[in-house]
Order: sequence, then C-alpha cells, then structure tokens
Amino acid sequence: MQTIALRTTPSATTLFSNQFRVLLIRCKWDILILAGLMFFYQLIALPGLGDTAELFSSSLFIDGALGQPGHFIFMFIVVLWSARTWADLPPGRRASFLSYPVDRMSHHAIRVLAGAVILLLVMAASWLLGAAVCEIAAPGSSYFSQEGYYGWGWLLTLVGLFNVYLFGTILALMFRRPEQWFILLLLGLPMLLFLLFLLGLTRPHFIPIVINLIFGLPYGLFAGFGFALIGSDSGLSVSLPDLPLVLLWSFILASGVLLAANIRREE
Amino acid sequence: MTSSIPTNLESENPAIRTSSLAKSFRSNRALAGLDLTVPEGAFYLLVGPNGSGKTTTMRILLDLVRPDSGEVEVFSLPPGSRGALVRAQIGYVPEGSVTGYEWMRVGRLLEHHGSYFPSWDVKYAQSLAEALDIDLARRLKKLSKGETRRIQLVMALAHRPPLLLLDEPMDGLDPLIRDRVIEILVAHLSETPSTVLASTHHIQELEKLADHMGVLFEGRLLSQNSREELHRTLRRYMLEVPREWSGAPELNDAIVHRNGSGPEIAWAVWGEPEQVAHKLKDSGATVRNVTALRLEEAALAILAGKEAE
Amino acid sequence: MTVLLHIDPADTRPLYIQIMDEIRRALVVGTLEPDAPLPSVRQLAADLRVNPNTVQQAYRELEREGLIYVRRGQGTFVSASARPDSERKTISFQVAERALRDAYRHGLSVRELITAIDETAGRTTTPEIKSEGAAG
Repeated sequence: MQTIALRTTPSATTLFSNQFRVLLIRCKWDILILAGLMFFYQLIALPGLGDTAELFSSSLFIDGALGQPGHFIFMFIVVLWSARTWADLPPGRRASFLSYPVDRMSHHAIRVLAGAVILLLVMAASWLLGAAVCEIAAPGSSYFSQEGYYGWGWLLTLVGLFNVYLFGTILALMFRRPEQWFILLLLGLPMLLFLLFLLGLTRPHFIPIVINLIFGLPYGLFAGFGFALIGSDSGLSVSLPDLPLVLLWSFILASGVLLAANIRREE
Repeated sequence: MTSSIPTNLESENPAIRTSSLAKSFRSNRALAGLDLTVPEGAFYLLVGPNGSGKTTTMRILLDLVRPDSGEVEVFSLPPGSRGALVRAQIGYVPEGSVTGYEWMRVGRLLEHHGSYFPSWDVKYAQSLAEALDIDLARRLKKLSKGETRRIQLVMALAHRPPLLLLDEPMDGLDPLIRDRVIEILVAHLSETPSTVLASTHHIQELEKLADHMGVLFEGRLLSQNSREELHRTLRRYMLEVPREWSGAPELNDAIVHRNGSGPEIAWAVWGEPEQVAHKLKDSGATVRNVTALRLEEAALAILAGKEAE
Repeated sequence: MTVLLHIDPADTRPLYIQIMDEIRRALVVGTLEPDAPLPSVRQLAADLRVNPNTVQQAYRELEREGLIYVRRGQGTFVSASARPDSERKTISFQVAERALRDAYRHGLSVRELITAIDETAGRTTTPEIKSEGAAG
C-alpha cells in the first residue's frame, strides 16, 4: 500500500517520435548517403551502361539479376544502417538508455522500429524518384518496365531487406563492430568450408549441404534475406524463396533482437 | 567484537526496502546481505569506502543490475518486474559521466530526457541549468566531467521525482559548484517533498541535509539509524584509566571504536549515555568528557572500528 | 531585515537545537525583537544549507515553547510576549554548562573556574569582554 501518487511512464507514441527524431538528427548524413546510393543505383539502369547495368543495378526486383554483386552491396548497406542506429549506444555503454522509465525490451524495439521506418521511407522515396528519373530520361529503362519484373515480388524483396536490417541489429546489439562481423559471416563461412575441403576434412558434397543449410532453401538465413543460394554438385545457383519462409525468418530474427536486447552485461 | 549498533530501521511503507540483498560480480562480492530501509521523506546518506556496494545498490533499485538473491522494493514495487514504473519515480544521478548521446547538444539532451517524464518542468530545468552555469548549446562530448555531472543533476531534479538517487553527487565538482549544488538541493527539497538516497565520500558537505545514515562495509550495513538515534546513543567518552585497568567487559559489545592505550583513551560507545558513563565509572575509569558525534565522525568511528577487527 | 544565524560545523548539538539557540541568542542580543518576522523555512534552510525539515522542526519546537508564532499566509514571527530576559537565563545556563564541561575536561574545579572568570574579566585586553566586565 503506497502513500504517494505514482508517476506514469511515457506513451508508446511519445517514445517512437523520440527515437525517430534522435535517429533523424544523429544519422542525417547516413540517411542522405543511403538515399543517394539508392537513387544512384536506379540511374545505372539507364541505357548506355550496358551489361554493367545488370551487374550493379538495384535489380532487387528483377528475377534475372538475383544474387548479383549489387544485391550484396545493398544488403551490406542495410547492415551499415542498422549499425548506425546503435552507434551512439554500443554494448557496455547503454546505461543511460536503460535508465529511462521504459521497459528494456520495448525501448530497444521502438528504436529498431524507428530505424526500420526510416529505412523504408528512404528506400521508397529514392527508388520511386530514381525510377521516375529513369523513365523520364529514357522511357522503358527503369526496372518497373523491364522484363522479368514481377508483380508482388517487391514485397518479398522488402521483407528480405527488413530481415537483413534485423540481423544487422542483432549484431549491433551484441558487438561493437557489427559490420565487420557481418563480413566475417558472409566471407568467413564459405572460406572455412573451403579450407575444410582443402584439408580433406570434408567430402566434396558436404559443402553444398552446409551451404544449403545456411544460405539456401528451404530454411537458410539468406533465404530469409530475399534470395537463396543453392549449392549442388555442379555449383551454385540462385533462386527466389517463398514469402512465408521470409516472414518466418522475420519472426525468428525479431525474437533474436528482443533476446539480444535482454542480454545483461555490466554497463 | 561485534558492535551492537542497530541496523534495523522501523518504517511503515518505506520508500526503499531491501532484504538480504546479495550480488556478486565474478569473484567480487558486491553485496552480502543488505537490509536497507529508507523511510519516505528521508534524506538518507549511504556512507562507505570504495567498493562497499553503494553503486551496486542503486543499480539494483533501478533494475540496471539483477541481484543474485534477496528482495527489493521501491515504493512497494519490485524493480525486477516493474522496472519501468520504478524508474519513472526516480531521479538518478549516476557516478561517472553520461554514457551515450555524446553527440547531442545539451539543450537537445534535456529536451529528449524531459520527454520521458510527464512531470518535466521546462522552466525549472532552465533555471537549474542557469544556476549551474550550463551552456545549452555545447555538445556533450566537449564538456568536462564536472560539467556533465551538473547536467545529470538537472536531468534528475527537473521532473521533481518522489525519489532521488544520488551516486557521489559531489564527485568531480569544484568547491564553488558544490556549494551551489547544496543550495539547489535545499531549495528543491523546500518545494518538492522527496525521499533522497545519496552515497558520498564528502560526508561533511551533505551531512547537514541528512536525517538518516547507513554505513556500508563490504556489502553489508554496519549501522543504519536516524540522525536523532545516532546522536542520542552514540557518544565519544574521553577516559582516564588507571595503569592496570582491566577494561569494561560489560560494554564490550557496545564499543564501536577504541582510541589510545592509556592513561587517556577515547572510546566511541553505543548506549544510553548515563548508563554507559555509569558502567565506565564502575569499571574504574574516570570519564573526563562525553561528546556527541557529528555524522561524519560517527561514520568514521564505525568504519575504523570495523577495520580494526 | 537580516538576522545572521550561524551554525557551527564543529558543534555536535542537533542542528535544530542549534537553530533554536541561535534564534534565542538573537532575541537576547536584540537583533530580533518581539513581533519581528523570522525568515521563511525555505529561506533559512537555504542560508544555513540545511534540510528544510530541520528548520521546520526548530520552528515547531519554538512555537511549542511559545517563543514564536505562525500567522497563516504571512509567515513566522517572534511572539509579542517573548521575553529576552527569560531567554537570557536559558542561554546563560547553556554557556555555563559548556564552560564547566571544558573545565572538567582540563581537570579544573568549579571554584577554580569561577575565580578565573572573575579575574580574566577584570584584566582582559579583549575589547568586547573588557567593556562588559567593566559594566558588569
């Protein structure tokens, strides 16, 4: 039984607008660069750049260009963005963030959400703008009017990139240099596998199995990112996952974020 | 010798109550059974050497750290399960400087901080910042330690919370600012009835504000009393004792601190002064003088007595 | 009106008692007169750098003794019936006790102390005391 009138905790809308503003102000240059890069990628689709276009365009919407370097670059950019949203609160120095009258998990989740909304807005704006510019400059060159562009596939791509963002967030909540960890995982795993193969510790067909498990269908992490690497005895190929699978990964990764937020370390 | 200074404070509906609170960090035992009671409206000074567990205690109250065992309640709420609500009642000045948000300008940080507390008083925050010579336009990372600590004080006071947790509030501040902080605290207490738990090395400066004191040593309270009780029942007795004096065995448990080996000795003893003086006289000592102890002296005597064990 | 109340950091008496005694002292010395206003709790606490509750306690006790009264909305005042003379007596006993305690600590008897006081008052060169000694 308490004699004082208890103070209340802030509302969810207040918290969200708080974090939104903080990210906008703190990361304004990152946002501009992000928007610039995405816009720039649309322009590569302009005629005259030939094969380079296919290679480096933000051809995330186009079936035929899945798994091209451009796609990986975009994923890395999204990981960088998720790292930036937590750059001012690295692990071990989040005491002030945790001292607020907000539930620990909610506070983290709201910042993650704010970062995702900013990412979405920037992507949508720069893509649409870029596509518009392409259409005006060279009608038919923007990927919305190109072959292989598929109707609702952009949703798959979007959710896939959101999953990349969540994955990057988990890394950012746990490590100080999340982008380095991402590269490590991307390059490190295949290199490890290759090393094992060289040392004769695995049979040749073991590698595709592991690759499938981690990167490919039906459950690989990269499938969750929007495209799947499929390994077979004849080599690697790329394929589109199903939306339900990607959504499943969203759920798993979101839980991972909340878990990472809850890890208590000495601040 | 175990001192018989009471560590139990009776209080209905205390602002803070812990029971057998324990916490270890790797091999370091920060708290070893803490029974803290802070009555509502009290100004409670938590005193103890470095590493005695003062900061850990506050962090547990805020749910920044989870205890290994024991119970804790703030305004009857357990921080473990109601952390956000508990923190909404608290103005916290951590030791060390602000972590995170170093890129922000001070004014923006105050605005950001204020949005978390419905009772944030913008005018009050401004006047506090002015009183403490804080430049709202500067970036946090450009400030000295003393300046960031002042900002932390503004952040803690400006929403007029029912509970203030001050971890070494005077640390890093120069004497002039320290005096101003005391002034500000006094004015704040006049306007806003609050409970205060302050840990400090600068006992001297804060002791005039305190009405309760707990002495913490190696994660446990050696004493926990109201100022009145301490004043009434802890005294220093200046004694003259004969050469082959056998001491005062009856008082052994009540002796907090011994100083000197004779013929002049000074003992800090717990108990009703008349009874203690009587027993001392009976034992053959001459009581030259009996003085009460200021809070700082009391704390020192209690700690010194413990370390002498 | 400023009355300077002074809290001695070395004094071990409870703070609220020191405040009460200081007000008594001001009354006896004449800087506070009957019906004179006292500083507000907030003001005095700020000046002395003490917890406002302490000042509150001191004022409550003085009110109980009848030395001061509170007029709602207007503040705290010295009682009209406050007699400096009766306070004089209280204070003189307090001073005497301090002196006696000090004497005992130094191994002096009461008689020795009284003799010393008389003689010192007679021949001291300290101006404040000398004028008083000459008058009293």
